[in-house]
Amino acid sequence: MSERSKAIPAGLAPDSDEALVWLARNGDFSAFERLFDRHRDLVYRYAYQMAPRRDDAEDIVQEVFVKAYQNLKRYRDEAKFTTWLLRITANLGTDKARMSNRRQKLETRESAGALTWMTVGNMGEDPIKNLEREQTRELLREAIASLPEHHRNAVVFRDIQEMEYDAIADFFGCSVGGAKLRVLRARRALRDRLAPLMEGE
Amino acid sequence: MDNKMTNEQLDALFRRVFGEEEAGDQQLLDAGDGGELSETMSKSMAQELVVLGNLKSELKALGDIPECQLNSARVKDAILGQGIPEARTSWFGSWGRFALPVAACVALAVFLMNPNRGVTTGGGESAPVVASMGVETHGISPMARMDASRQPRIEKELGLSQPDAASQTSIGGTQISGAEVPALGEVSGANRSGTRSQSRRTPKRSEAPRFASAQPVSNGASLTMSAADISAKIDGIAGGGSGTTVDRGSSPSEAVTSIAAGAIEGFSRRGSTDNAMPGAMMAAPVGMGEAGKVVIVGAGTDPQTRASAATEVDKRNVVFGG
Repeated sequence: MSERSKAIPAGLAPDSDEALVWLARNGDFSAFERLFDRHRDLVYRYAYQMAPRRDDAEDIVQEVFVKAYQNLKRYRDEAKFTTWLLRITANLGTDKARMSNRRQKLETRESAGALTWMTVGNMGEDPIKNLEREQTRELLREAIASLPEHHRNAVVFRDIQEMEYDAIADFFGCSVGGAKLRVLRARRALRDRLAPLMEGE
Repeated sequence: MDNKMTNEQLDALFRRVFGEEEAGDQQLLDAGDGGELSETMSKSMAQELVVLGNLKSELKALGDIPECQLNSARVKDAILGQGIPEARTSWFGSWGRFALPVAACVALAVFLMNPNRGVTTGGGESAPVVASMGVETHGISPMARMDASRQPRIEKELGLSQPDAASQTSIGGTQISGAEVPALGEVSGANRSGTRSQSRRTPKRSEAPRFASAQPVSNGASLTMSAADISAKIDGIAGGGSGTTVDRGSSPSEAVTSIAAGAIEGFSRRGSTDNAMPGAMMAAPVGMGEAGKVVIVGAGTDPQTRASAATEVDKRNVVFGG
C-alpha cells in the first residue's frame, strides 16, 4: 500500500470507490485507473445502447472518463460514483448518439448488418437465422432509441444492464417504488412500439 | 365479460414475465375482475405472455455486445492531451474580479477625504489658478464672469510672491522672456495632481479689501485686458504674431473690442488639435503683477463675449475703505 493510500480519511474502505476517488483527487492516477477498470464495462454497455457501434461507444467511454477525471473535484460523495459516471454518460451520449445515428443512416443497411454480424455473430449458426436475429435486434434498438430519454434509460438500466432498482432510483433521484413504476411504464411504451412487429411474428 | 385486458392485468403480466411478481398479481391474472377469465381473455393473455417473453429475451440479448477494447492507456493519453483545467488555488483568485471596483471606491474615498479638494475656482469667487506661465495677467476667467448681473467686485490677491523678473513675459508691451516659460500645453504639477497650494487660494470675500469707489483709470498706467485676450496674444505670438494686440494707453472702448476679438480667438483654439492649452487656462495667479497695482472688475460686460473687463490701476488711485 502506498503512502497516499495510508492517508485515506477514516470511514472509507481502502478499496471503495470513494477511497479511490479521494486518492485520484490527490493526484494518484493509478487509483483513477482502477476506477476505470472497474466501471469501464458499465459505462460501455450503456454507451453501446445509445451508439450501437463499438468505436462510437468506446469514444463515449473515453470521453466520459476524461470528463470524470477533469471534474473529480466536483464529484460529491453523497452520490454513488457509478451513478455520477452514468449521468455523465447520459449527458455526453445523447449528442454523440445523435451524430452516430445520422452517420449510420448514410451507410447501407447491408453493410451495417454485416459489420454487426461479423462482430457479434456466431459463425457456427445458420447465417440466415443470424441475419434475421440481427435485423430483429436492429429494430429493437431503433424502438429503444425512439423512446423518450427517461423511458430509454429505465429500459436500458433494468432490462439490458440488469441493474438493481436502488441504483436506478439513485440515478433518477427517486424512490425504489418510483423507479419500479418508471421501468414498468417504459416497458409498456416499448411494447406498444413493437406490438405490430411482434404480433406479426 | 370484457375480453380486453386492463392496464392492471397488463402490468401484472409484465411483472410475471420479468420476474418481479407482486402479491396480488396472481389473483389479478387468474380471476380478472373478480370472476373467472373467459376463454378469449385467457387466449389473449397467453399471446401477450409470449410477446413479452420474446421482448425480454431480445432485450437481454442486447446486452451481449462486443467487448470493450478501450484501455486505460488510451484514456490517460486523452486526459493528457486535453489537459487538466486549472484549479482555483487561493481564495484571492475568486475575489480578483472585485479588485477594480474596490480600487475605484478607495480612490474615490481618498479623493473625498482630501481637504484640498475644496479649493475651487468656480463661481467667480476665486480666480483661476494656473501654472506659472510667467505671463503677466490677472486671471479673470471669462467663464467665471459670465454672470452679467453680478455686482461689481474688486479682487485682490494678498501674500503672493512676485514672479521672477527674468521669467516674466510682458504682453502688449514688448518682450517675452522665455527663460522659464513652459511650452504651450504643458501642465504644471499642481494642475496635474489636482491639488493646489494653499498660498494660491483666493481670499474669501470677507478677507478681501473693500473699496468705496474706484477711481478712473489713468491712461498711462492702466492695462485693460482679459485672460482670454492674453491667451490670444500668446497664441498669436507663438503662431507668427497674428494675435490681437492691446496697447497700453488705449481707450476703454478699443480695449473692449480687442478683448472680445482676443477672447473669441482664444476660445476658438480650445478645440484645436495641437494640444495647446488655451491661454485663458494658462493665466498666472492673480496679484502676480506689478507692485502697487490692484485689479478692478467692472460691472459692464461685452455684449458679444459677455466677459467682464478687468482694469489694473495704481494703488495710489484707489481709495480703500468705506
